[in-house]
Amino acid sequence: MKLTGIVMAAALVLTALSWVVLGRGFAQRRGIAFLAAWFVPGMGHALLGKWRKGLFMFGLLAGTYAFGLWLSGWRTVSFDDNPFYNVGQYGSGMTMLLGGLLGDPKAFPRDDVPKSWYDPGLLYCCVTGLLNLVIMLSVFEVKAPEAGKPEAPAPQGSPGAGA
Amino acid sequence: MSYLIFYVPITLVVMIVLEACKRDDPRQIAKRSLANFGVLTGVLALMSIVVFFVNKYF
Repeated sequence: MKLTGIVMAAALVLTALSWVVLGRGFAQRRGIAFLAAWFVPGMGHALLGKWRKGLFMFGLLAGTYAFGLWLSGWRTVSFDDNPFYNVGQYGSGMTMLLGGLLGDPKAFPRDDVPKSWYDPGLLYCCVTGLLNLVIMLSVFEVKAPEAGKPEAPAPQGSPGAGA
Repeated sequence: MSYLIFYVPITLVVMIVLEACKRDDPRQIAKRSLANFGVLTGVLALMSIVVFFVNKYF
């Protein structure tokens, strides 16, 4: 829990620093969005105006994480369970925070699910954090909006598309 | 039920996230994710069969 607090504080300091250092404009927003994406999956895209995509990413990762938690008895991966999976949770602030809050007691055993489901449950929790790193990096793919330009080009309606 | 059933949702989630990072069109995301999922599953299944026969006869 102490490590969680230190990492959270470091992320907050980095966010404040990027606010000051990156200056005004889209670069600043992108820097803030990158760090915000670590705290909450999809938040980065939402801050850059792609809120629908951000919401989709959040829903996808939250669903995966909740499913993993359900499989492992609503407990996150503790260091004793699996050190590698535990570190994987650090990819997102939310999973890391929940890992710090719920991860102390071991998730295993759980009576109402087969024992072979335990490892996939831990894997789901870990993969959620790792996938958030990919989503964070994709914040840099978001282009700056141009004045007067629509967000997405109009679809070309060709009847034979997909054949 | 075998835990291998959990391969399907997690792989689909990974494929969807990777495609969603590259594209904006939901149809394209779904199409490419399913195609990638199919290719990955096909390669894994094929290699599993190869490994099975190598273990059995060699």
